[in-house]
Amino acid sequence: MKTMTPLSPEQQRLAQSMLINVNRPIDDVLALLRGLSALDQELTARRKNASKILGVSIVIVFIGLILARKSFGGAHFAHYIVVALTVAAVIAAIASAVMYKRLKKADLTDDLTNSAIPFLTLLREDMNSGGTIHVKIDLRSAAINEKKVKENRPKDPRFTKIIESFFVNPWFSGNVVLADGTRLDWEVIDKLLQRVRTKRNPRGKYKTKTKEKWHVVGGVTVAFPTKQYAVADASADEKRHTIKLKRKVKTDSKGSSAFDVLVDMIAEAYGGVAVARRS
Amino acid sequence: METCKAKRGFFSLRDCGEPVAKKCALCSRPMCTHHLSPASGYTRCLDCDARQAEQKVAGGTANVNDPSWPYRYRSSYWRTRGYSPIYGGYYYDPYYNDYDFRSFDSDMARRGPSTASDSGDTTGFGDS
Repeated sequence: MKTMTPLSPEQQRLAQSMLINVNRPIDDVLALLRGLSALDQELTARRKNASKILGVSIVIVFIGLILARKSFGGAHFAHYIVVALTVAAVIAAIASAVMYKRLKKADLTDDLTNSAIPFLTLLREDMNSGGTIHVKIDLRSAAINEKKVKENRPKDPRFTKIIESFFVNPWFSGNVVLADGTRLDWEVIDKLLQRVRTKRNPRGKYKTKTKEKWHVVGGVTVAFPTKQYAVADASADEKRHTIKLKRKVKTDSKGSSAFDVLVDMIAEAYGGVAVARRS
Repeated sequence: METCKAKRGFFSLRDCGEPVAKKCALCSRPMCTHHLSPASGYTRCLDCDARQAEQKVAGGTANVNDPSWPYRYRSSYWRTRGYSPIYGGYYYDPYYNDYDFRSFDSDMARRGPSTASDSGDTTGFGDS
């Protein structure tokens, strides 16, 4: 797919595989991710345009069919114009539907822009210049078969069919040693409960509604160097005090939940340490 | 050689220490090129820029590619969440008095590394 966003061969490969697993300087990681984020924003804008064109085309086809039927039998110039416009609208509708499907398939998760990039941008401030970081990001949607762990189907689907699917998506993890010597490991797992309800109304028309509930589960392990930090409630060896924290947030729409959870947990870990005196 | 007086970090702070490029037009502190705000035409430091454009923590990840974003976000986060970052540097700077820092060594933070000592229980950098 041709895009306006300039991408390196690696970014093109990652945009296709949607799986990132890199261990390199933070500036390189951010440059890589910002390119992918720009690509995602471009594809999202194009997808919205395609859906608008699809909607307008369907309306034109509908009106065109009514007008063509009214003027059927007459060899007016206006009749030919209506037929030509309707055919053009059908072609536009098919093309935009195909384009929409392709763009939807290439869509990267919004978590990249809303959570991963802001979190890594903040971590960069706490790292030494040129410091390396290990980052794993799964940019695929949470609602794919590979991530589905459970599905409940109704026994009697005559009138209302409700399918509940449960997905587990461990999409963001990594580790880094910060400038103060603290070792940080993090992981974010999204748990999605998707309820698809299909109902047949008295006129025989089917309607489908989809509801989603998200649980964003974040976990961090912060290992503080004993030389600089004293920690009361932490497991410690000779070199490090280790604090492990886990938090779950329930939400209907995700936004930047993962970012907020990670930042709050690391701040909580830092808030629980006392400062050791230098010798 | 004079060094940049900005403090780097979000969870813990440290001195920047890069060579000075220019003084901030608002606070007059000497700053390196990384700590001058491009949006201000490199006349203000990122901290002054952040204080001027105070950003709410909620939904605060907009414009994340702007170099001053981490400074706006940290200023907002520290104030609204009451977070006190740990300071691991040496140079006391009254500019940061608004924040409640915890210092690695309060005496050293006050006097600088050359006069640092182990003794003393005085409150130090930003203790408020």
